Amino acid sequence: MRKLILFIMTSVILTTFFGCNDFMEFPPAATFNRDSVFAKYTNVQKLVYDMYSYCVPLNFDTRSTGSDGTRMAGGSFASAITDEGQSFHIQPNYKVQNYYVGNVSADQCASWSSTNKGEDDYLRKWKTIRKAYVLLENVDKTPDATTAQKERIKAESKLMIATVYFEMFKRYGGVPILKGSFTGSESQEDINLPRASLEETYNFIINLLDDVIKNYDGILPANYTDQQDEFGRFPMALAYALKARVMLYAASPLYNTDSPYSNELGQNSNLICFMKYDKERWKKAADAATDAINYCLNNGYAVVDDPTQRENAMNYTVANINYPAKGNTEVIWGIPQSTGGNNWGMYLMVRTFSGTASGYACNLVPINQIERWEIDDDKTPGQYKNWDAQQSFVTSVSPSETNATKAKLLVAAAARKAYEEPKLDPRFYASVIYNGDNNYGKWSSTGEVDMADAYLDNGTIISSLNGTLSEAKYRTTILHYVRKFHRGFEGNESAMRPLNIYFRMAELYLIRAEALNEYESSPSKQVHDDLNFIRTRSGMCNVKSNADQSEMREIIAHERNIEMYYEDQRWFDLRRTLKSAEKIPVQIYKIQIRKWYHTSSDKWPYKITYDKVPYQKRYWSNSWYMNPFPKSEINKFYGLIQNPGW
Amino acid sequence: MKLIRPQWEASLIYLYSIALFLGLSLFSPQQLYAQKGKNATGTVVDSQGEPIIGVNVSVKGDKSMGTVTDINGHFVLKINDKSIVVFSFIGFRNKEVPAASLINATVKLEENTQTLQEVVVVGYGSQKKETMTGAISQIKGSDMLKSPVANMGQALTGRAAGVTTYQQSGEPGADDVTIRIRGTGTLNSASPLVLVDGVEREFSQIDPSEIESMSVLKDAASTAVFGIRGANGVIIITTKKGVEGPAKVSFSANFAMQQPIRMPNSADAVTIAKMYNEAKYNDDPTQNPSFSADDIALYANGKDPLGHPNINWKEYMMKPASFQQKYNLNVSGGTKNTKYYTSIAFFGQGGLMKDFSNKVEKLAYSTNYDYKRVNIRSNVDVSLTPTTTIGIQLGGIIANKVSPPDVFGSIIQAAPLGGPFIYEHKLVALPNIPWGGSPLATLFTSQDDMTSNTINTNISFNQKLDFLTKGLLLRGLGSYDSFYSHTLIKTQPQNYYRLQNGYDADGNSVNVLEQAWEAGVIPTPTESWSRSQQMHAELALEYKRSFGDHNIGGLILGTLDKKWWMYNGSSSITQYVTVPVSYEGVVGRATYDYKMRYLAEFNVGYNGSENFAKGKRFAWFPAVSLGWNLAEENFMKGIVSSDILSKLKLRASYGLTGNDNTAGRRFMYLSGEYTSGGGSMFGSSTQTSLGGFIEGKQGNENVTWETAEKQNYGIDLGLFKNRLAVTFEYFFDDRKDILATRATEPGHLAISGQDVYNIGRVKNHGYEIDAKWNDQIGKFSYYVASNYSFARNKIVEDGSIKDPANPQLWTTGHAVGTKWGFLFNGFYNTTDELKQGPVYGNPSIGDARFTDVNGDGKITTDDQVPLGYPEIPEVNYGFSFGGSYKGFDFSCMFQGAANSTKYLTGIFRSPFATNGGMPSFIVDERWTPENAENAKRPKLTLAYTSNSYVESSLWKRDGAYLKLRNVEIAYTISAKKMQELLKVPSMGSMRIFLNGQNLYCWDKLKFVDPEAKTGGFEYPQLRIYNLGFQVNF
Repeated sequence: MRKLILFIMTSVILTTFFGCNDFMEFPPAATFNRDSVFAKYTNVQKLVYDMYSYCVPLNFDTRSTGSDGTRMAGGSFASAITDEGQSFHIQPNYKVQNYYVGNVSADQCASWSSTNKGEDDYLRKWKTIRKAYVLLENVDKTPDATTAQKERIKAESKLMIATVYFEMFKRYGGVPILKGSFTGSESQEDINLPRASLEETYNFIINLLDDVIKNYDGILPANYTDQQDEFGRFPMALAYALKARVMLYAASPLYNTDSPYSNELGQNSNLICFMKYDKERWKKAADAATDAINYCLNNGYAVVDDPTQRENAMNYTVANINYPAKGNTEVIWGIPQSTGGNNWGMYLMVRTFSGTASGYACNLVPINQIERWEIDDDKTPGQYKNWDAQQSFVTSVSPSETNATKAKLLVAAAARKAYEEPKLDPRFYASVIYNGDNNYGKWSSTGEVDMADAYLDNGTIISSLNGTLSEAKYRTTILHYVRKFHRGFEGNESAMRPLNIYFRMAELYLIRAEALNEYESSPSKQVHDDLNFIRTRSGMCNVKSNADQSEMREIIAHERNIEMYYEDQRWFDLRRTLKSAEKIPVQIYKIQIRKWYHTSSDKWPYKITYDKVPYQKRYWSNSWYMNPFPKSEINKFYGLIQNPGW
Repeated sequence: MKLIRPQWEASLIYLYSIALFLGLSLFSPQQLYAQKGKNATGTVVDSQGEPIIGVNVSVKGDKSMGTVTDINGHFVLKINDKSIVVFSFIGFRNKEVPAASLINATVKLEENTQTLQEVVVVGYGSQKKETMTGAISQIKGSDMLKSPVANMGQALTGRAAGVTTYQQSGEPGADDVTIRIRGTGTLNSASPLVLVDGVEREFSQIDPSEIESMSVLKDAASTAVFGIRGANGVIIITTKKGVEGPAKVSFSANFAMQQPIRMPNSADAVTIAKMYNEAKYNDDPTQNPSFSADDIALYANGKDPLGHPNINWKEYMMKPASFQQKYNLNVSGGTKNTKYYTSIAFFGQGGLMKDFSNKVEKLAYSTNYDYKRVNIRSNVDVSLTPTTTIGIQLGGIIANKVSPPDVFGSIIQAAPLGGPFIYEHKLVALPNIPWGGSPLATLFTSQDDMTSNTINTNISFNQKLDFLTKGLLLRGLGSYDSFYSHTLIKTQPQNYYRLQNGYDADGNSVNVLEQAWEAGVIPTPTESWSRSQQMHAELALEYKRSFGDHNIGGLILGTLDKKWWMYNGSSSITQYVTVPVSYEGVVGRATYDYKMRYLAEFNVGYNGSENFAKGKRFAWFPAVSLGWNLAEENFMKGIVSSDILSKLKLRASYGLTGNDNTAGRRFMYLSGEYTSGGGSMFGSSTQTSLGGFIEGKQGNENVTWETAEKQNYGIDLGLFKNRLAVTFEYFFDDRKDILATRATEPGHLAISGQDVYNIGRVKNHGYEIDAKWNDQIGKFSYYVASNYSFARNKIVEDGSIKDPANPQLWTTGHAVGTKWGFLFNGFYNTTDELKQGPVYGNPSIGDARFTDVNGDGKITTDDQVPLGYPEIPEVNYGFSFGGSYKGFDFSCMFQGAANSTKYLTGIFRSPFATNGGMPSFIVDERWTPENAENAKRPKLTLAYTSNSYVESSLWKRDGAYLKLRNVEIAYTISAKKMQELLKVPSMGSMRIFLNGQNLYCWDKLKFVDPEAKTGGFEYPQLRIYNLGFQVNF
């Protein structure tokens, strides 16, 4: 009996305390998982919206609303690495400055964190690709979505995969090819994919684009004229346009070659080039550009060209700033910015801080580039203003003039002559802020930008009279700022809703001109027509009519530099054409702007001078022809082969 | 279970407990006055002079006449002159004393070395110390009372071998210490499990007077019963219980002054101005200095206090000391059937900040810190029948904490020449210095006023089941705890004024104050509250019986735990807050000894955690331990006299425990949850941000607990009639299956929030030595005690990347928390040195040079090496001594730590970088061409663009220290004298004491306390001078 009671009591304790499994808690049964998402079309749409967040590297990075809203740390665009741009010099830790001195590590270049924003964010690419595959693989499950809705999302996902792969192709060459999304339960071998060859990667992209073009016509909207709220999602036109861009890159010397730019990879060199030159690639690029132009023209796109707005380059500005709803028929795809224009403006003009940190800019224009806008006075192509000799302009204002407004206007008018006599390509005035500029309301009450330091004839500086934006006052030495992306909003950037453009139609004409020029033995009419079409809408004369193939190659490269100025093209253009080693490690010049006074009691200067002064010698390493994979990724030792030199 | 309970209802519980407390205080069947007739009186103490509670005092041959000593060791017994009084207490030799000599006598009992029967609290029970085979340290509540600190955790410091405490903030009401038992054994949370009266509870705010003892469980034998929660060690706190005897009332009061320990000094305005100019010159010699000679003169002569202030922010904002008070009133006693201990305590701690509420135009609240706490406790045990007892334990804490935003970081970062400061009741900001830069502005922004109440209730029963089988006992425990806090956040924007240069009517330059910021309306205070409740239940069958020389014991016990959260503010868990946390488990124990000479014990815990998938939840954690009291062996007695070797015990334990503490993460097996977020911007005519869904972690169904395999070897030694007691422990822990992420997964896997795997492994080993000598010379008795502990861990695997070319970068093989950085190798003093290279970045003269560790001719991140020890010290030691002579007694405790590396960060590394301030010690340490020889840091800079300031051995400092933690001097006035003095016959003794905490520190860091943060800075630790008395009735 006692034993029985004991047994019962022991059993009670044991069963009470670990017999009852239900005592343990379980998470809410209705966990919102993938099945829940794909149960409703409105949920699926949210996945689509998220797929677009940070999907491709652009000048501005929409993930950040803070003070470093650009892709590269320190507020610069990739253009500032090249000879078309310059970053403020005092902050040597800024990523672009590291390129100037040749101190770029693989991690700095290819990874992104709050403190380290490299040229690319390699890992982010794969996240976007995963989002696209998850949509592609699951959208058919959505019960309340129509077939058209499902098919459109599939098309967008495929186009997204192609776009992101192209962004990797252009930076890294061949990369691992994913055919679907991982579940995490795959074996280590299945996960540890090697890099595919450049050719396989290229074929993968083209197959995807062809798939979209061929199978989703009428499903993926051609444009968003009728669905303005959805502007920012992919139109079919992007599939055509991107195909032309991918093919132009594939035809370019960096990739389309028998031997790579570096032999370091040996057997694995097919990761970074085709290993076989094929002239037909140029033809394919030209044909793809023609297809894209025709598709665009047939579907509501056109290069912005109001004949009355050519001489003031407003066509050019509309194409670069405006949304389609405001007359920009040229933009094929771009991402509206989530932040106001303040950040947009911040990196393009003088950053005004109080106290010791005042006044520096992240995207400046060196004299080297100023000299590249053609003279437009006599409508002869290929004429350039030479800044080598000192420029001097008399102000024609009495040193004791008491009417300040009048005097300022006269001084500014004298200052502007450096840029306006002779008159330059209208696109210059749309692209650059310069001394004496009278379009900038923010910095002085009369609107004239004063970048000059005040000097007495004996060479001493009068610090009290230095210009509001002068070198001595603001510690910035390059002095020309980028206007292009906020023209008309100077000093009023907060009113802007900037548009980050990924592809605009003018580029298609430049692609076709370049591809045809390379394919044909001498420049055909089509090459001239395409270039002149782009120039005419900005009030420029035609290009030289009798240029041979190699001359024309220079003209086209120049035209891309001017037309696509600061549009995140030049860094990659110089690489794919193997011109970086020639164009990037050059002497960069700054401009020294001085206004001169006879005596220190003078109120107004009698003349203004401009001197071109050597500023900085740039650096180039052939390893920079391709981006590095993040070192942390290589160091996982799953077999990812690093690009040469990193 | 109703989850939401409004605050008033929680208050009802509080009122109920107050009522219970009062009721019990009156409920005293014993007379409060002394018995009639002649009385024997006195105090019973042990060999160290410590009073012994609960000693049986009886007249020889007359068992009816007897009493027990109270909590102060006092006794009063009615006798006649010829009686012999017998004192008996387990663990001590009986002592017989003629009654005639017992007038206010001190009776010293000698420990019984043969059957030393000190009882130690262990997991789910208690054991005689003699039969213990695991590694357990026990601290007496009376020891902890010697530290006049606010927080129980701080009282632990230095008192037990194997326990590390680390205190970074002294903020009233928020001064918890980090506690580690035997160091760090895991990559995840290494915090021990803390139980109060058998239930997992917060212990830091319990009144020290309520505490009977604290047990620290360290090895597998003692922690296996806690299963998946035991691997980090366990602390068990037991509150006091009543003992049979007349009602004893004890009142104590403490008054203390608190001083901050080592607030770093800021350089004065002149120095800052000069240093700033120097830094600017270092960055670019062509720049004009920011401060002219005139400026510097004005800072020096103080003639322009408005434009050129020189404010010592520390003195400007802080009081030199603040006041602390503590009162405790407790009543205890009981009959054979009912025993009670009740206590009420008040604790009040003022803050170190000055109150500026009347000094500016608008400020409706005090700017000082304040903390008030009331603790109540009522522990009652009632015997219902000779075989049945029930116990009710009730503890309550009501606290109110008022605090401004953490301002101490701002104080040390602020420049003496910055603002805003107060001028004629106005807050004056200086141009170009951000308003947020002054600690005053920080202080004024808001005030948090948090009231919290905690109710802990235990109800337990014991039923002897001798009728079933002798030695059998059924016991149970149920508990209900409730915590509620309510926070009111008050904010008040301020009017700001700015100094502007202007001209008066005569054209003279004057300074005018121009309003720069209008405060606007005072916003409504915001409120938040949080609430948690928990229940615990356990039921056990216990068996203890001797068969001749064979003693056996057994335990089977089941536990259930559940905790709920309700909150609208913050919560300690971050995931699935609405889902309660539950545990269930079963515990088993079997003990056997033969003549208490050969000991064996087997413990097992079987419990589970819902954090893991079904089938991965429950596990067995067994442990086996053995002991051998070698000194009891006859052959030993033949070798060495038992007068010399009184005790020699060998112990060993081996077993498994677990850890499911995953730092707030729950249900890690769940996969693929989506949450709102992400999205992008769309629209042509208008732009709209369209939100998205973000894929969550993928989950891992195989995730399970960490397992610790623990070995412990111990020797207990008693020498010279146990005057010297030495314990030595050696342990080795191997923690496997630690949850960690796999850093080696390829980036293209792209599964967001990649999940954890049981891949980590950490080994931890160390030793502890505990030695105590006590003796008596005439009437002077004294003791000297010391403890030393060492614990070193090593990561075996943590899922990190291992670069085959650079093994010096691997985290494996190093301790958890080790930092990596460059090896500093002097400063560049000449251009030649710069040219010799290799260099890192763009250094110039006066910058730091680093070693090319891998010798590849370049200095890159691959040249980083592990720099030192983790911050939490590997070595901890304490030593103390004390004694008593007649009514006087004193004690003194030192505590130290070593093998700790601190890194200068924040303001201590980069002056000017935040709010323009600069601690003064940097002035002497900086590199200048003149000071190149003695420089301890690179030349000053404003830009921080050279690599001198990256993590390197240059910034590492030795965190070792030795502190005079505690000194106490006391005088006890005997009950007799008190009665004579006060003419109150029921008066008991009174003890007056003066004690101090954190009195002195020897260390190498100098500018801040070695436990404080060396980057940001929090409320300083406190030095406390305390005067108090305790009087008994």
